[in-house]
Amino acid sequence: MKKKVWLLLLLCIFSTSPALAARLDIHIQARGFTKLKVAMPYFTGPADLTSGIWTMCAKDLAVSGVFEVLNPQSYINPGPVSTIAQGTLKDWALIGADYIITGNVSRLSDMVTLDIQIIEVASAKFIDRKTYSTSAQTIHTAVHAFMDTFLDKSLGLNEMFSSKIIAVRQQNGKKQIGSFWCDGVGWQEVKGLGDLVLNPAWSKDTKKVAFVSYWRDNPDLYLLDLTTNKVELLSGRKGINSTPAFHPSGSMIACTLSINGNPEIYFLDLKSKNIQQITKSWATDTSPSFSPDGKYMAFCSDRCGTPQIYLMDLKDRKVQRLTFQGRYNTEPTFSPRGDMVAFSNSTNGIYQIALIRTDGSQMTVLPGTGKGDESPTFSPDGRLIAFASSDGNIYVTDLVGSKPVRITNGNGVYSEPSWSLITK
Amino acid sequence: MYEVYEVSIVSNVPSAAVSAAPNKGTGRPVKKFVRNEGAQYKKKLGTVTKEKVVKEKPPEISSAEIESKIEDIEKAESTQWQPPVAKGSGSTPQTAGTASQEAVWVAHVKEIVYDRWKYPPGITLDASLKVTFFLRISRNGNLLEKNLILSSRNTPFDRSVMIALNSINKIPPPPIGLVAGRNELEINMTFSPPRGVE
Amino acid sequence: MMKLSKGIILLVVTSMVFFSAGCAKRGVTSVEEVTPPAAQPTQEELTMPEAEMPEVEEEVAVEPMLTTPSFEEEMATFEQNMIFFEFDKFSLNPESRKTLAEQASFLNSNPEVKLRIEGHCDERGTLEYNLALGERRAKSAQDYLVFLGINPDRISIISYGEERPFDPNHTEDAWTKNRRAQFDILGK
Repeated sequence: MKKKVWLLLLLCIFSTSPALAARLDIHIQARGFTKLKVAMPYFTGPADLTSGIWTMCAKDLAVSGVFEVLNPQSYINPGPVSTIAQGTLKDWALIGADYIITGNVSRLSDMVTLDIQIIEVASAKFIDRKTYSTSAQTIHTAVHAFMDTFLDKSLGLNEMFSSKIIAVRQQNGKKQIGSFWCDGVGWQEVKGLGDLVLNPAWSKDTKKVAFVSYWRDNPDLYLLDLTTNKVELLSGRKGINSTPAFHPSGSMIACTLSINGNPEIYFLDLKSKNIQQITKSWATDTSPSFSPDGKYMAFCSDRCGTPQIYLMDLKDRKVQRLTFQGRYNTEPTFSPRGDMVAFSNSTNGIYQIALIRTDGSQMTVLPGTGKGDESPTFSPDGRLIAFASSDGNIYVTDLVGSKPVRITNGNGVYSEPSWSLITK
Repeated sequence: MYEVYEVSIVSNVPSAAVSAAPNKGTGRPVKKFVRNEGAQYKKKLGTVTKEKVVKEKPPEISSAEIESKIEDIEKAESTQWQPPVAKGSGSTPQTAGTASQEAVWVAHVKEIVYDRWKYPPGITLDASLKVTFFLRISRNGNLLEKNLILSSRNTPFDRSVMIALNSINKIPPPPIGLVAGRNELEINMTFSPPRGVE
Repeated sequence: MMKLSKGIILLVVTSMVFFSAGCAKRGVTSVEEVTPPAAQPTQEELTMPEAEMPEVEEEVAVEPMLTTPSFEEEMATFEQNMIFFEFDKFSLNPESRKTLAEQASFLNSNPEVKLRIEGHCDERGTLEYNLALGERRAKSAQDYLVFLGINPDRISIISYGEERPFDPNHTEDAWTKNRRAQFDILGK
């Protein structure tokens, strides 16, 4: 009898689906990229404040590269509302919202308070409720603090809105350097550096900026210390002194000098100002960029006939060519993740931002604005790239080619962005 | 045989474009979103009219019809951005092979998950990421338990999957063959990013 | 051999300058010559049969050729001369070499003149690379002048990259004009 039962059991087991024997394995591969959708009804509060704050939030969500703000016109109730009534969650789900952000702004003399709530629709839960208080002149700090919280609480992304972008602005025939927050808010120009200022670069601790100025009627390299506001001349040699790039250690910069006959890359010690020649070729070598660990340097050289991107191992100075596609590849910049280099590529006269892995594989050209994109620079966590377009604006884009988001507002022609790490 | 329910979340904005597309002379029934009195949203496969919603017993649907409906969903999915080269994924209902109940059910579950999972662009280019969740399904299709068992080491990637799974409380009851002898089904569900970027 | 051919070029160039300066000077010289001796009758004389004037001129024309106004004109010509380059190139074409030879002859006749050569690019191409390319263009011109015998201490170079276009338009024609090296006399 027992034997029969066992036999029966065995039969049952083997006659049914093989999956029964073990756990069922299912593999899901994403079919494409989709941004998460955020519903954000207009905020309640004084009319002169709420509109600007709401717009800044919406812009930051777009700049983040992972969120898409649903147009309030498609909501059942576009607001202003400061909270979501219980039971109305389904209305928001109906329009495809993954998150709902509601806010209330209030003002007391010179202080502005922002009460913000975030609801995750999937779990129908509040994932954050916070009040941010700030002076009326620095409202953007509250918005940026909130946006960083949102990035963290939703997808666990690193903060980014306290990082800055330094750039060149041209107006009335003069070029000056300045900086703004990475969403384009709060442009502050540096005065007194001359009429033609180029190639700005941040130090890793964001306390120093290196740049080129024609102040002495020659392209010379200078260092601006942001803590003391003092400027010192780093290199005023004959010929060009250009394209500064800080080594992660902060003690040295790489730059382009032509004192030995043609543009070559040199290391310049920031304390002693001593220089050391790094590249030696009959060709133009320029635009150095260090890997985050300081062990490699990407640069541009036309030693093979056309400008291409090369990688140098700083241990043995061995050089390896990275780019083989296209006749014009320049302005390399290392990702903070250390795994890839972004640069400017020209194919058929159209300039676009491109990416390549440090082993030379997977070169990708990003469609960008289509108007001519150059000067790429990575965000602090390497997720995004800012660049300048020939329309005079600076844009932010992701690495897979989504439509770039414009961060400048057209009051001047902007170029050469350089993205800082998080400023504390 | 069984009804397909999706409660509380609808991922696409019902618009003229979305519902008109499948109608273009294919002769196939259109997917519709219907709202009834109880403030519960049900999405049904197959032709739906007001009367049918009120009916308790849905019409019988054969597994072959289910497969064709699944194709409809795939074709109507017009809001997702796809990279130029990577098109679709390896697992389509067609590869389910024979029309066995289990394969069809698995394909159906996958469709539900595809529908819910939004994997945002600006996160990483690493196509080798893998995160695995353990799911325990009751014989009625209720999600009893879900746990992250193998992280991809990329928090935003893991979170994007968690958000999708948070919105799923119930799936179609598994076929008898998968739960025979037990009252529940255990699933290891592994997620990976779209294949290739360039 | 070199010196001989250089000498010939110098002679040719000088005589060209002589004739061109001469042609340009006729009208001016005649007014200048006629005006000082007789202030009032000047105008009447000017409107007199012009056929007589050239004769008067030729007798006095010889000396003014070597006075400073000529030098100023030569300086202007020198600074207006430019050489042009192909896209992404800094090599000299025959036209450029010809122009540089003219520049060299001026420099040889005026040994106290110091100059700076500016290298420029069109707006296409990326900014940092264009700074380096402008430098190479200026250097190409400098090297050739040195080759033609000009003391390198007299020449300095500067790159302006794409920052100072000659023609701000965005056309092929403008770009061609912008890919240039130009010459700036120092301490005028």
